[in-house]
Order: sequence, then structure tokens, then C-alpha cells
Amino acid sequence: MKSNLKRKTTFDYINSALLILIAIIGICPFLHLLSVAFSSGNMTSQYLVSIYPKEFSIEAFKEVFQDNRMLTATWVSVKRVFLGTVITMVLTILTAYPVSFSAQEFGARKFYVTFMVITMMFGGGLIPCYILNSRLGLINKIWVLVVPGAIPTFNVIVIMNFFRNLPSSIREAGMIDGANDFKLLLRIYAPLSLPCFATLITFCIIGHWNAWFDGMLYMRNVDLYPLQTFLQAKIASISNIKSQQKVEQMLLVSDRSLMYAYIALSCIPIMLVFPILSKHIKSGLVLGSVKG
Amino acid sequence: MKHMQSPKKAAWRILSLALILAMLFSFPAMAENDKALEPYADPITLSMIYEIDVGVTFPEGDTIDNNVITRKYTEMLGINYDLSWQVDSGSYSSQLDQAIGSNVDLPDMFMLNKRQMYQLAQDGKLVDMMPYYEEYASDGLKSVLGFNDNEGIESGMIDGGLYGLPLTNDVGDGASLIFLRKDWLDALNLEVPSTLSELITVAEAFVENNMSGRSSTMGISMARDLGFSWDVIANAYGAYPDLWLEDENGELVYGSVQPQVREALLAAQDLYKRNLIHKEFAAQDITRLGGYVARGNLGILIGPFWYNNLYISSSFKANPEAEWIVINNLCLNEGDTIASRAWNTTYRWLAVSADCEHPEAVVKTMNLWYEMWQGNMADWYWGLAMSDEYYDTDLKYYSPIFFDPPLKNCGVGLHLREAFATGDTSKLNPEEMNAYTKMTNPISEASYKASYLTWYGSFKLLNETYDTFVYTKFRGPTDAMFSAVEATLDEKEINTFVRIIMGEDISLFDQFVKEWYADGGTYLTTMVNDWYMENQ
Amino acid sequence: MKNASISVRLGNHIRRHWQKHLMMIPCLGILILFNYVPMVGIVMGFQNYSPSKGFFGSPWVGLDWFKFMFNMSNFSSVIWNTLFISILKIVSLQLASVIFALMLHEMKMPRTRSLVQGAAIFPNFLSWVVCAGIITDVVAQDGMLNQIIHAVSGTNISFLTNPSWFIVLLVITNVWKDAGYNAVIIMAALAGIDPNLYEAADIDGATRMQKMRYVTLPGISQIVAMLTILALGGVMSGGFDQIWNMYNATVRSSSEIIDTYVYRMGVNSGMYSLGTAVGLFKSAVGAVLLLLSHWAAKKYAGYQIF
Repeated sequence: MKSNLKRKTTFDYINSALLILIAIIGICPFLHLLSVAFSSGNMTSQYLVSIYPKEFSIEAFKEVFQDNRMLTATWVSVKRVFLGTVITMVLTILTAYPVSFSAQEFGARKFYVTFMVITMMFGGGLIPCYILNSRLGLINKIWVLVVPGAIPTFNVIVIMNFFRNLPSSIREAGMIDGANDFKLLLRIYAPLSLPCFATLITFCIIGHWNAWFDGMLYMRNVDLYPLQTFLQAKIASISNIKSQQKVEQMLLVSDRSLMYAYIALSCIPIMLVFPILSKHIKSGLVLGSVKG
Repeated sequence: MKHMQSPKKAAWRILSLALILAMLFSFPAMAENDKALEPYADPITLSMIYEIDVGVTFPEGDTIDNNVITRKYTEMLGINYDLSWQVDSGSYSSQLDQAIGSNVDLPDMFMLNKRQMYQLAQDGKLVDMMPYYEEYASDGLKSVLGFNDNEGIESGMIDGGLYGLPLTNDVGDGASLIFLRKDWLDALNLEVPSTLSELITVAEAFVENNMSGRSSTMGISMARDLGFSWDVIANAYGAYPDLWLEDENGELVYGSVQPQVREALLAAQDLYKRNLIHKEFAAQDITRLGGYVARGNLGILIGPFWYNNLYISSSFKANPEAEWIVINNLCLNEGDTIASRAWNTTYRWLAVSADCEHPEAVVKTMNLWYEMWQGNMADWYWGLAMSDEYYDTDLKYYSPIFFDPPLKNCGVGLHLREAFATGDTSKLNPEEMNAYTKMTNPISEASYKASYLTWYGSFKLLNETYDTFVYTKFRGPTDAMFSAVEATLDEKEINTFVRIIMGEDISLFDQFVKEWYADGGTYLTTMVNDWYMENQ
Repeated sequence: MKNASISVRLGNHIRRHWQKHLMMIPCLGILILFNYVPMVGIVMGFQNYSPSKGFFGSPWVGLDWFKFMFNMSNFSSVIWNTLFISILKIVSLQLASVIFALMLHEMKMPRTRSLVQGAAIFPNFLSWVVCAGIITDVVAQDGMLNQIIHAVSGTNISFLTNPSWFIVLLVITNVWKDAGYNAVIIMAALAGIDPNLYEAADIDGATRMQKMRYVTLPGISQIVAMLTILALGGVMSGGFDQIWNMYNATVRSSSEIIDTYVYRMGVNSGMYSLGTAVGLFKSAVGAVLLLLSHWAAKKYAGYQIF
């Protein structure tokens, strides 16, 4: 590998060219998005814009900026991401620790694991969940978006496997009579698992940022919609032309530019954190656990 | 199948139309019922699910529950509205379904569709509004909601009770019109077509002479849901897809499986073969077709009056040369008469919860909306709408509920044309005056052309033809099973028809008919006829 | 005596592990409340559920809905679509990720490489709401992609309305959204391959292809196998978010999957009981597949999941 680091062959050039091409194709849709958002309504309604803006215009963005609901929704999403990530991480780590011991070491492990696995397979469906959440008074509360799904079994498995692969001497310490598990988790396990946590935090952030369905179900006020729910409703109402009452409203605001301006702006927060988050995806969480 | 009416029904129909016209044209309509707008001494609160619309803005400090319109309701009626349950129009129906299925408490009033209404009425969650409607509805409101043989009211009836007050729409909302590029006709020295075959000749000429001057010119618009264009072809052949019609035995049969549809499909298939329907129409929705209209690739657009505002106006904007005219749905041969299919004017109802303490307040709300929109308070409403502060907003979204009298726009058009002919604007009501001003003082050439096409074209035609429209005869309740089966069969129907138009053998239609009955059509037919026997 | 020993053992267990049990309490609480309690709703599948009568008062109909389900004309196609779409997606995604990872791995320019990688991961950070909004416009009849296809071949492709092409679109966009991310995981495995193996291969005079065949691929086979097996466990879901935001009535015949069907029937059409029955059928088959895949992961990839 090292020996041919310097020498570039035809293969390298072709390979690099192909990859760059793939990358460009991959971001084409986003270029299209931006060019439509920055084009005049006249051009976009004729479907004449593809990869660069025509009749450059920022009217669509001006209109989006006038829509306070966009900002409100972004704020709801930020709150959701923060709360959701903190709650999920704390609870997942707490849950993963006990089950990372083998059945010999911790006799109740099997019970807990079975208990979790069953929830992966069966669920009651939307209606019973809705009844439950409304009885609990969670409708319109941000907690309904972060608490019911606070312990994703997948995340538990990932952390559990990471813990399992820590050197066995560390684990054995946990088996000593009267060992303080909380101390052990906090002082020894956690510092060693930071890369794994970072990856899962990234997952949580992406997951909560992108979730839209629960917001649509449980929020009875548009001002409480998270951003993606807001966008989904927006896109649905713009493209749902057959319903008759939409017509006059469409005359006022409808424009593909407008819709794209909404989408483009909604991507900004995630683009800001993308460089930081994308680094943590790379920490090889699955690999760590395969070794064992 | 002929569209027949019993003489009794026809008489009733004429009578009710005359009544409605009298109502509408005798300005201002008076609320003779003194209970209609009687205010509550102690203000009450009505809660509701509010369908919030994108693009509605309020002046500083105002909100959806507290704005110039809601304050008027409170002032006049003593009713406050709790609009804290707001749903975006995109997810309104889903969220309501979820709430219904979970049996959660519903607010005092909300809009719903037929299936939702049936479900809730069966569960005893709704109030029978008939007594309240009869006691409190103003004459103006009754004339609006009773349009077309009481269509909206009758569809809101389940087992003799009225469980939903119809929120009516314009009579022309679902009626096909044909929009044509007049400048292309003139350039080719062609007459305005008066039969379907002449229209096809025109389409052929447009395509052959490549009138767009671009890479391609398309013949007749057709979108993937078939929609209005398919209606025009089908109606010319006496076929009425999607409607329940009476056959010679007095039973209701489904329009899409009748032999006339076969003929119409063959005709459409022929158009496709001759390249007069776009080769890839199955991939195009109406917004795409709108793009072709704007770009000038398409010179024949079939659709209802509001396509003018949505698509034709962008053609006016993009191309100052473009001239459009609108003509009525065409018959097959010279001398025939044509009866166009139309959508029912009601597809959503306003239901009142069984827990509501003041069901009559809902009727009063509707009364007041009618007065503001069309009746005694129209001066106030339209004065406000024309004021600088609200000129750019559509004030009806400020109201907790709104509905359109089905014949309102026909009347506006009629009076507007009279006023332009005589120069006398004194008879115009405020809304008409508003339209008049917008035409005499248009913001652009394109906007003038679009308005002209609406009031001198579409609504002139609709005013002449609306009483010949063919509606579905089935107005009964639909339960979940009914609508699920209906939805599945509808999808199958569209997919089959698209395949046939695109060239598959017509025997596919015969197979479809068989499968339609086998996959639930028989069940639908039984349900529909059971209702029809009881309620005819 | 026996009792005594049990209580002694229990005492020991609690003394040693009480903190571990304490840690599990929040998890137990949340799962019981939000996962186990709603399972009561499964009875809907065996009832003629009426919202006002609830789970305990609706009339019992036994297996009627399941019989109804199997007699439905479109049920088999929904099952078939689900499996077909899932398997196509899994295979294409794994293939594309491996190839992409290998190409990236071979790339010699670190700066460009991280740029390419960044571009490839980016779609993974966006929701299907956003992605579908963009994609449906790009691939529409006279959208950007079709303009290119038209220029090259003279015809258009109806991605959004031709049922077969729509499946292709689902598969490709799934690759577009997830392959970059999957490739990163695989690259981590590539980075973990012992450099000595490559040096040894160089000494033996192995070509680039031979090195790939004998060193690189075995080095990542385990992780690829594991990713595939895990994905197979979820084969009964075909990607609700993607399909719900992209499909339309014209292509529903080929792209209606169980999850979209359950939502459309169970909630949007008010057929609550039917929706539950179909969902339950999915869960049962899914549970078997999940257990199988985890068993297979342990046996063939040496990966113990639980």
C-alpha cells in the first residue's frame, strides 16, 4: 500500500474522476433546489430552470422570511433535538450498562433483554398509542415527541456491544462485591466509550431533526409543529391542487420557488452542524463490536 | 343511458332554482328570521378544529382567534371562537381520523367528510342539526344550502337526521370548460369548434402547423388522473364515469362500467394514436400541463373556470401575444345537446359535537357569514376587503368558517356584464364593484385578460348551462368499508383506462367491468340502491 | 432448607446488583408505558372495533378480519411489493456501498476524498420529506433528469408514473441517500485491515486486483455480511417515509407496501380493525425474520446481537 502511494496510475485517474462525477451527480438535486429557489416565478412556472437560476430573484426567500411559522417550527425542532438527544443518551447508556454483562455475571440479563426485544417486534399501532398519549395529556406537549421513543433498542444494542468489547479486566471490576456500578459507569466506562457515544449522539440529532410523522399526529397547533412536519404539510398543501378551496390561496403564494425556498432554508441548520457531525459518523461503531 | 328526470323532480328543481335566483338577485337578501342573528346576552364560546391556511397574514397584534372578522362575530352574536386546535390543510383529514379512531373528545364544531360523518353519527357523537337548522337558519342561508334539490343537505342526512351542515362551493368548480388559443385559431383561419370532431380537427391543425414554434406542440390536454379532459370526451359519448345514474329500471348503476364508456375509451385511444394526446400524459399532472400552457406548447386546455387563474393567466404573463377564449363542453355531432358532468357542490360538512351546549350558535355563525359575504353586511365586508390594510389578504381566511353560495359567481358575472354594457354601476353589490374596479383599473394587461376571460367567458357559459349539469344520484351515507372499496376500485379504474388509452386492447375494459363487480362493485351497487329505494 | 438457599441467593444477587436493577427502572417504565400498554390495541384485529365502544366493548369477530385480509384482491400484491422492494433495496445498497467504499479507499487525494465523502454522506442528514420534495421534481416528466435523458436518448422516462420505473427510482434514491453513510462504516473496516497483509502481497508481486480479491474483500466480508443480515431482519418494512412522501395513485399497484397500506386503511380510511390485522400479520412474520437474522448473524458473522 505504502509503496505505490506516490505513483499515480491510469486507474487512479479514472477512479478519482468517477468519484468526483458521482459526488457531482449526488449534489445535483441540491443545486437544482437552490436554482429554482433563486429563480423568478415566471421562469419556474414554465419549468425552465434546471441547474442554475434563471432571472435571478430572491422574492421567494423574502416571502419565507415573512412567515414567522418557519422560525417557530425551527425553534420547536431545536428544542426537540436537544431534549430528545439528552434524554435518549442518558437512558440508553443506563440501560445498556447492566445488559452488557453476560448472563453468568448478571442473572437478570436474559429477562431484560427479552423484555426489550419483544418491543422491537410487536407494537399496538397508532390508535392505541394515540389514545394513551392523549389520556396522559401529552397532546401538544413536546414530551410526546421525545419520551415514548426515548430508548431505541438499536442504540442500546450498539452501546451494549461497545461495553462488551472493553477490556475484560474493567468488566470484572464491576463484578466485585459491592462495586459501585454508577461510579464504574461514569468514571471508567463512559470515558472509554466517548467515540461510540459521539456517533450515537449524531444519530439522535439526525433522527430527531428529521422526524415528521409524530409531529403531524400529536400536535394540534401549527405553531407547535417541528420543522419537518411543517415542511411536509406545506409541500402537501402546495401540491394538493385538486381540493377546490386551495385555489385562491395558491394564487396568492403558490410557486415552486416558494416551496423550494422553504426547503432550502430548512436545510441550513443541519448544514451548519454537518461538518462536526459527519466526523463522528466515522468512528466505526459497528466495527468495534464485531471484533468480540 | 339517458339522463332522465321525473317530472315532479324537474318541477321542484325549477321552482327551487327560481327561488335561489330570486334570493340572489334581490339585493340585499334580508334575514327575515329574527332568531337568525339574535345575539347571546352572555357571550358563549364555541370551540372548533380550525383548518389553517398557508399564506394568511394578520395586521400587527391580530391573530386567528382575534381579528377584524372574529371581533365582528363576537360583537354581533356574542360568540367567541376557541380556535386553539389548528391543523394545516395538508394533514387535516389524517389528524381528524386519528382523533375519531381514538375516541378523544372533539370540539364543538369541525369540518369533516362523509365517511367521518357516518362514523361519528353511528357512535352518537354528533347532534342532529335539523331542528336547529329549521329554527335558526336565515332564508339566505337556506337558499344557499338548499341548492340543487337540497343536494348538500340531503348528503348530510343519516337515518333521517342532519349530521352535517353543507359547506357549499361554486357550481362551476367541477364543470369542464374548454380553453382555446384564439390567436392560433386566427392564424390558421379556423372557426371556433362547435362539436367534438371539430375540436379534434383544430387540435390536429395546431399540432401539424407546430403553432408553438417550439420543439413540439401538443394537441388536447390530458393529465394522469384523466380528470376534466376525460369528462369532456366521455360526456360527448353519453358516458358519465364516476357517477351513479338511474337506469331504465329506476335502479342506480355506476357510470364507469357502462357500454358508453367503451366508446369513449376507443375515441380517446384514437386521439392518443394520432398524437393528439401527449404520448406521456400518464406521467403528467395538471401542474405540469400548466407549465406547457405557460410556455406555449399547449393550445387546448380542458378544465374548470379556475384553471384560468391558475394556468391561463401565467400564459398571459409569459406571452403578451397569447389570446385565449373559453367554450362549453362539446357534443359529438352537430345538433346534439350536451349535458356536462359536474362535481357536487358540497364535499365537506360542518358537524356539531353532541357535547356542544349551543348547537344553534353554529347555525347563527353560518347566518352571519352569509350576511357578511353576500347579505346585509356585504358593504361592510367588502369595504374592508378593498381597504388598503386588507387589500392583499383574502379576508375569508379570517373567518372561522366560510362557504360559497354555488351561484354567487354566476350572478357576479351577469351583473358585471350588464354594468359594462350600460355603464350603470349603481346596481352592483360591493363584491361586484370590487371586480368592476379591478377590471377598469387593472394592475396589468395579463390580469385584465384573465378577469375578462373569467367574467365574459367562463361564468357567462356556466350561467347558461348549470341547470343542465349531471350530478351523481347517490347522496347517501358512506361507511368505512364503502369508501375503502370505492377508493380501491377508483384506482383500478384510472389505471385501466390509462392503459387502454395508451393502446391496450379494448377487451381490457370488458375484463375491468367483470373485475369491478367481483372486487366489490356488487357490494357498492347494493348499498347504493338500498339507500336509493328508501330515500328517493 | 431449599427456600433458605433461594432467599440467600436472592439476597446476594440484590446486594451485588441492586444498582444495575436501579439503572433498568427508567427503561422498564418507559417500555411498559409506551410499548406494552398500547399492545392492548392488538385486540382490535379480532374485533369489529368501534371507537366509542373501545377495546373492551367492541364486538368480537375472531379471525374474520384475517380471512378478509387473505381474500382481498390486493393483499398478495402488497406483500409481494414489500418483499420485492426491500430485497432490491438491501442488495443494491450493499453492492453500491461496497463498491463506493473500495473506490474511495483507493483514492489517493485525501482532500478530494473527504470532499467526495462529505457530498455522499450529506443526503443521509436530510429527511425524506425534504429529499422526496426535491427528487419528485428532479425526475418529473420535464424535470432536470429527463431533460438530460431526452438530450441523450430522445425519449423520456416516466419515473413517477410508470410502476416499474418507480421501483427503480425508489431503489436508486435509497442508494443515493444511504450508500455514502454505509460506505463510511465499511471504510472503517477497510482501515482496520492489517497493513502488513498488503505489504506481503506487494512482495509476492500481487496486482491491484489480486490484492483486492485476496486481502481487501475478506477484510470487509464480515461487516458486509452482518449489515446485510441485519437489514434482512427488517425486510417486512420497505421504508415508509420514502414511499409515503414519493408515491401517488398511479404507481400504487407496484409500490404499496404493508406499512403504507396499514396507515391508509387503518387510519385514513377508518378501517381500524383491518389495519390492525394487517399490521399484526406483518409483526408476526417480521418477528420470525428478525430472530432468524439474529441467529444467522451469530452463526455466520460471529456477531452476537443480544
